[in-house]
Amino acid sequence: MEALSTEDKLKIVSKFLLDSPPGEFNDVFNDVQVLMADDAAFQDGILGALREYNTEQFTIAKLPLSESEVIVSKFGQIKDKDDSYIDPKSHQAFSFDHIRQIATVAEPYPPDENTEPLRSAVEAAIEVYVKDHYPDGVSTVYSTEDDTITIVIVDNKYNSSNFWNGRWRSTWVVKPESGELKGSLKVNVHYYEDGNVQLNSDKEVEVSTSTTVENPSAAAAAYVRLIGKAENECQTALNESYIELSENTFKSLRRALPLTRKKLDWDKILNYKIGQELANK
Amino acid sequence: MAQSFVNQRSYEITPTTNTIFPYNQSSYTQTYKFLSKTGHHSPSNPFASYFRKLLSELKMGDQIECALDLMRRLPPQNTEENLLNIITLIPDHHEDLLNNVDQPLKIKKCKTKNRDYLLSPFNMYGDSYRSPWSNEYDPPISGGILPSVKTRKLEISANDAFDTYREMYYEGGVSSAYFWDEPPDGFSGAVLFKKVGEGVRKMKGAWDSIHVFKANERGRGAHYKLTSTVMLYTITSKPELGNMNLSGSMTRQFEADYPYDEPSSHIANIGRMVEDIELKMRNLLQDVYFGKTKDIVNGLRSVKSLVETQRQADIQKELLGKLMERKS
Repeated sequence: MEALSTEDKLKIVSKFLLDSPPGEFNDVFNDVQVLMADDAAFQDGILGALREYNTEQFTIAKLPLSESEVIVSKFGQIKDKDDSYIDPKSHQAFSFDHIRQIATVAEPYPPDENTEPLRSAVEAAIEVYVKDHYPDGVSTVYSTEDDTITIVIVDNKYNSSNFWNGRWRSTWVVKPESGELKGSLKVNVHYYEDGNVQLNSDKEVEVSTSTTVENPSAAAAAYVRLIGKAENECQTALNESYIELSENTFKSLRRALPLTRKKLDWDKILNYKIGQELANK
Repeated sequence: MAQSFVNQRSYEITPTTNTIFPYNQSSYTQTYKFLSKTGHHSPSNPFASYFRKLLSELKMGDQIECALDLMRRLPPQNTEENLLNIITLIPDHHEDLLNNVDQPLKIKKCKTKNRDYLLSPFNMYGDSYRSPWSNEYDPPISGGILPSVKTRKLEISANDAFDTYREMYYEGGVSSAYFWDEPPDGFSGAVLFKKVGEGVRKMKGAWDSIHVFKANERGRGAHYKLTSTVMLYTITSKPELGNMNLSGSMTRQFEADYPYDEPSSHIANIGRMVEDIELKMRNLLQDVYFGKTKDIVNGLRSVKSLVETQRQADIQKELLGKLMERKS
């Protein structure tokens, strides 16, 4: 077999890293580093995958000298500045170390005065909503391109001592002018005691409101009401599908007991077969 | 590329503490030594080569352990692709990896007996697979490993018995049993089942069972070690839900002693063991898939208002407090 080029190796380990289950990034990182067996090339070539992982998975950062948390996402990335992100709430920009997953230097970053009133109203309403439905939820609300508002929510629960981890991610892009909201909801759960069981669920949703933006807090309340309703519907559907898969799909694959409601009589099965063989002779 | 026929399961696949036999480092080393015997011969200085070998084994042991750890974490929805990619990264270990990572079973038709059978590392030789119904390799290959006459007899009756079992429990699907000799006083085997659901109302499912056992005769009894893996895939989609994929595998290990008086006792003993373990595994899968992971989802987000739930809990606490006060 031809030796694999460093580039091809990096491609494979990058894909593995991006597939890391919630809360297990470090374990996967250590595993692939050993498999790659070329630490220098690994460290040189892996930054892109780390950046993609952190921004896609809504990694949470804590700014220096601050208690509040901010999500690292592509929506907060400062253009033409590598690994600089904004915290729209505290009006700061910060550098993010994708390897150690920590925020370093933070500096003031003034908001856009035109979009800030609506953005901060949505932020306030989303924070109340997240507290009410996400036990460990963190949210960040951005002013994004073309006067849109983008809301990201993440809730992580890590319990590696009991071999399970989970993550819920929501992304909502609001077009204030038309009142349209586009949501993308993703849930990942990993259970790995005695095995490897994963739930991957994703849902795209579109809703709209007729509330206009003259009054930012009224508009924000309308958006959050729609978001709450859509997310509840999706979660309820997920819970129902759990029951359906268990009652229909799972049951039809293998019975708990045969139709006779008794376990098999193995001596009889063998004798039956031997008897059959004798009869056939 | 000829595949040697090594079917020892030398690694713990699971991190758990409640399996019956714990991680067995020594059996791993033995397996590796066995494999490396077939490799290059050591040069002049026996001590230097000994240490070199020890070092390389340690290093390789790390890679195998990391590969198996990785397979325990990567999405089980892509097991085959993930395994292929790992083998591409560390091709020297492909044999160990194929023997220690369970993959979804594939179905092939036995041309001689016109019956379906299951493909696995346990009936593979090179690129050929042995049919349990005809005992022939397809495509035909010279030098393919066959069980001894005695073991083949047991294999035939195991295939008959588990075919009946399959019909009783799976009401469809495919089963295969493969046995091989383990000198001096034992044999090993794999009992496999696969059932693919029909996909009613956009719900799809598949069940693969892989039971690998080792049997040792000990006077009037026999000792059995069994490693059982069940892979379960369930997929569904509908407008209000989006897409849902709940899949993976669980593995358990068991040991038991059963009385043994004639060769056919083995089949009944293994049959009872497989039957017990499949029921246990089925209950385990039911709990983990449809209970545990569902609870985790609802711990990430709550449909009910958390503020309201907290308020009601506070009221209840207060009422309880008052009640206790009155009692005292």
